[in-house]
Amino acid sequence: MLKWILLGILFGTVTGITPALHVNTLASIVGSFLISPGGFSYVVLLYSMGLTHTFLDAFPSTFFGIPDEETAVSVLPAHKLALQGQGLEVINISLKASLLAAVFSIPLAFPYVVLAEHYTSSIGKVAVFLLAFFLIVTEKGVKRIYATLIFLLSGVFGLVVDRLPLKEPYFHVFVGLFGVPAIVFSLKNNQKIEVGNSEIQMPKRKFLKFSFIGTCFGMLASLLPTFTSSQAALLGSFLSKDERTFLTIAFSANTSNFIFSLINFYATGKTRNGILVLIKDLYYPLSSKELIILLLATIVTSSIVNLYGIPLSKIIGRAMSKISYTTLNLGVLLFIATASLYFDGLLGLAVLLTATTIGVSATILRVKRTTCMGVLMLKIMIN
Amino acid sequence: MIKLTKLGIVLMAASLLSILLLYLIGGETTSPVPLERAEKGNLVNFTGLCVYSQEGFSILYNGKETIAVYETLETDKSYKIIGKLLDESKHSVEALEINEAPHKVLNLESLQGAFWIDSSCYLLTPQKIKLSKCLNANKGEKVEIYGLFYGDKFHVVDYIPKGFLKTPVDRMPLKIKGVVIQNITPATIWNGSEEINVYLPYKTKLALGDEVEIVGIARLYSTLTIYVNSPRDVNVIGKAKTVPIGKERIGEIAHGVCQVTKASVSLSLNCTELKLYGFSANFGDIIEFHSIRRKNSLYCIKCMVKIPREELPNSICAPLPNTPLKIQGKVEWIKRYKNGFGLANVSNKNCWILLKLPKSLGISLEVNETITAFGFYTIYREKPAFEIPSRDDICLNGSC
Repeated sequence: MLKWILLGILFGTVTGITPALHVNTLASIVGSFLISPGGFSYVVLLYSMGLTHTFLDAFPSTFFGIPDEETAVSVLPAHKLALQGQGLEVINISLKASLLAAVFSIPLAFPYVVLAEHYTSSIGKVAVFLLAFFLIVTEKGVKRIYATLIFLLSGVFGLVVDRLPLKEPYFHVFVGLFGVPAIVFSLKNNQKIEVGNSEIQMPKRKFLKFSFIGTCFGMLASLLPTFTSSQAALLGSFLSKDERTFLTIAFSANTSNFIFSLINFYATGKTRNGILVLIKDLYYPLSSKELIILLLATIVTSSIVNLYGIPLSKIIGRAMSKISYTTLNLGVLLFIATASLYFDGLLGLAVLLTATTIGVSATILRVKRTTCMGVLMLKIMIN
Repeated sequence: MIKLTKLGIVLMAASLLSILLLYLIGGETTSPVPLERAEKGNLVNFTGLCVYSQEGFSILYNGKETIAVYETLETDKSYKIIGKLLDESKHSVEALEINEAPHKVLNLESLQGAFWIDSSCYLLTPQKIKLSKCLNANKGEKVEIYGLFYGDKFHVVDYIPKGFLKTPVDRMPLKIKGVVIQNITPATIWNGSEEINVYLPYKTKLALGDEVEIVGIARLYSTLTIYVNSPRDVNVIGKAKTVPIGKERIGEIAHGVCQVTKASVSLSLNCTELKLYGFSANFGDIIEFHSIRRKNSLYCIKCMVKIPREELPNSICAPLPNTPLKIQGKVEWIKRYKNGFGLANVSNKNCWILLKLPKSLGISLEVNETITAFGFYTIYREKPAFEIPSRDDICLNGSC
């Protein structure tokens, strides 16, 4: 069993630190090699892989400013801290907040099973409406109008993108809305990225509190379909006052969302992410004993990733620090454009550019960039 | 600051134009394609029957291909879906447009059989085919159904009820109507022309003479046999017609008041040649009965002794032939032959009669004994005589 956990950690590390490589993509690659029907060992492998990914996907969003669907809203504060020479601290926040989320999730698993069985889609819709409402009303003065416009623009953009024949629509959309603007605005900085110190500059008690809040938001995200951990983190943005508390909420929500999705899958058979879709195809249903084994694997995986996460980030971060930041950013932009072209050709590039324009206008108008999450929220609201 | 705001607004306008452009490009380049030619990300056009649905997830099937959509649809309804293919191998589609479609656009299969309800709803052809839903048809009724097979079920889209089968077909449902003429297991129903054996569900009982309607599975053995699987399939709709004895036909209730001319397992009566079963009385008793007429007998439904034979008049002085009679008197003398046969002279002082005592009866009388005997008047060597059917038909000194 440990062999499969370690293999999962290895694969998850690769997906976690690689920009634009979503865990679902690796899941499909791994899935094509698995002999169906797979045994429980495959479930352990896939689960550890997905869990490891949630610990380490802070890396590309912090150092490259490239988010994915789950880390879209954390890219800005993470990247901001990285530019201030606190990149390693961000990674440490991700690792520790995720570890705490794993620890908190286990006792919360039991009441969660009851909650999951009572969830209805109308509850999800109401939650999204409330979230959109708070996103807009928490802006001040004329910015409320701008926020409304950005929200609607992103929403309509999301609806149009849905109709386009794109293989990786979320790559273009999220990288365009959140990643590229961050990189564009930091192009003028000619400084070098310093990985800095990994020490978390937040009192332990506060860190515990916000990790717990993030865990609860992640729990909510796993209940509501199409509600990503980014959207859950948006809820957290109403409670946080600085980058560090926000990141704590966002990272713990991301990990707990993954863990609770497994529990939801056990209780209701609903699949909330690509890993669970693959697990369902290979091995369903899970017994209580198997769920307990997976929860134990959660603790083992979380502990192991925490052991090597910082040293690994140091090695990669130091290598990156030798490169000029502008060169790095230009390289990342080139990588993003090439990836867009590779995935979906010129149409992909056009979507990336449109998303970037919306993201940039939100930054210029000083509207919370999280308003761009309208790209997912509007379609939930009107469906 | 104002410049930046203006730039922001210009960028928003540019985004809007860009979205519009994408919409137009999308409209031109993305006319939906059939599923078999679609690649990941393509818009697909699929019309299929919803064969499975749960909260936020449904499966549609068109007879050849299956897609999964993350929407709650209604099972057994047809939908036209325009959506984006998310996964080529699993055929999962993000639905953008969902419209109900007429069933005729699907290449539906049609099946003929009989609608049947057991633990679920089925079509019997006579092979048992599980249906996705129950039909608004009578159990056992012939139906023509239209739909698609998916998994272990036939998903019914439409159906035409065609009434019950007129003639029995082996292993197919049959509805019968008739009178219960035997209520043991199997019960026997007379439908006006033939006897039908019916195996009823556990603890289901029928009363003799009940007029019933029964639906069950027919088996064509030497006798038509029906297996009933639910007490709900047995309906008592009335009672058989009651007619005077002698006028009854099979399946009718015969009523009469008659005298028992022979009593054994069955009773022979002086009013019909048919034997009466299911009631016991003594030779000579006068009984009133309501009995169901079977093929060659009568079976008691409600019977009672109206006049016990003890209350018959003493016929020693005026015996009638071929009628069960009672004689009472004192034994005057007895004569026993070598072969065991005996004769006893019974007299009431006014009249006398010779009582025949065959050896087989094993009766031994004594002179001056008072006897009461039940039997028939006969002649012995040109003298009035009396013969009794069995040892039970004689009482000595008032003890029977």
